[in-house]
Amino acid sequence: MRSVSIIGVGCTKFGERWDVSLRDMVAEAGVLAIDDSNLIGEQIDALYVGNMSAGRFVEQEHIGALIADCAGLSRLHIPSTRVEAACASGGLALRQGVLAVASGYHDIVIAAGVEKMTDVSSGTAADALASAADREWECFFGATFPALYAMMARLHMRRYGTTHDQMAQVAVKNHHHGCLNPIAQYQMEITLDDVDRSPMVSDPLHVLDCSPISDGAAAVVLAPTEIARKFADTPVRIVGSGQASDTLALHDRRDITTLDATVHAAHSAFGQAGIEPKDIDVAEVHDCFTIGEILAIEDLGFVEKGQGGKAAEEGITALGGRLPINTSGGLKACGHPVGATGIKQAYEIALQLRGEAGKRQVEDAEFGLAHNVGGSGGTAIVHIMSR
Amino acid sequence: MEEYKFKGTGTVVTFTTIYTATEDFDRQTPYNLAIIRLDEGPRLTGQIVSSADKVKIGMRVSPVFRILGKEGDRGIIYYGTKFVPVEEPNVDGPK
Repeated sequence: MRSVSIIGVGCTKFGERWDVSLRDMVAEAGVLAIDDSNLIGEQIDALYVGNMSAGRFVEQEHIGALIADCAGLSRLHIPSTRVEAACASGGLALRQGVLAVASGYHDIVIAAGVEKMTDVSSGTAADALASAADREWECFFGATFPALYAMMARLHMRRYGTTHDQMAQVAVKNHHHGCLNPIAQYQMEITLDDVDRSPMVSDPLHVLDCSPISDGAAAVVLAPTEIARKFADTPVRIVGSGQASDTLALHDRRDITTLDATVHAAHSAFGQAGIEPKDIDVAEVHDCFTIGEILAIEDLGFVEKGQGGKAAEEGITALGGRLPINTSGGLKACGHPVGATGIKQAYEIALQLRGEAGKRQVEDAEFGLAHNVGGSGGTAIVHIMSR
Repeated sequence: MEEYKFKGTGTVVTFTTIYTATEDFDRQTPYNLAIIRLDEGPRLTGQIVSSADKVKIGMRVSPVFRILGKEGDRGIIYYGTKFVPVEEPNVDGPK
């Protein structure tokens, strides 16, 4: 297998983008990434795009061909493939691109992600997102996504003494990070009190414990490491790519407060990279709900099981702390256009490793990690990157 | 494969009270949703018909047959299982 590097990145502003369509956003992100990598269109061998549910959100399927067309590449007739793993669709697109280059089948590949979620009512959006859960055994009985994570949170609180204030601290921190990120959906500070006083969605999760409904797109350009320097001054090497699955329904898991898919994907990625969790300098993890970040840092091996809430409270995971988590603002503050999220995470880590993260730069970051979850943990994807 | 009928009684593993639901369940809010461990071992997800403050982790529940949803005013009605708290026998109190 060949070593693979990211030679270019691009990302749109995340938020309520009523001024643009899905195709506008994916074209914008693609052009930014292609410009960043000093490529011309003819050099691109294949496209992968992560998209969860354009059929439900904008009544458009066949996103593979659509993005090749929007990017002005239809005349080249290159393969363009949409992949789907609910909220991990972006991470999966990145992994498919990595595998295609690593295997030697393709040289230059674009991995993109896009979701346009604000064209439908919030009820319709909630229902579309609920299709990432088990429709017959969870949603049929009234389960929603926040409800599934709320049930994880409730049990975590009971077992490990995690408090709602510790969860709220994740939102406060990620909003602070979001203020330093020009593409973030929310660039405003919030307080613990704001989280506590925001309306209850699914007890114990309040509105401000939840990531928002968002529009956005992101793209990265991949190449074999051996030729990466021809295109980029500072290519970012992908040193580990792990993917794992688990039961679709939360109630069937070995443990309700552990995402075993995350544990297995991380084990695989760290094994390939030949490093340990303590070697990671900066990470983007899947904080679709505040409890999600707490579970993620435990299951990725950054802290002991049960210590995630305490880590948030002590500021270890904030910028300036021992392990800055979600410097982009995470899903919480940067926004969560589901198909784009996994690629945006790679975009943020690439900026950090290139030293181009501006006000939210982590000093001398050498190793970064991106962690993307589908559903309540039916899929997890972990990428480890290095300067 | 052999058909097996569960007793339907079980214990609450974890739960939540839902205040914002999908469109199909919007009119039922707030309602309690739980993961229940059936006495035979398997776990499932279901609603607990009770006031929110009565639901606790470890609480015993038993099944009831209820309407789960309707496809509009004239559409199909879905029936299924919900759960209710098991009334613990109170040996000291009045019958």
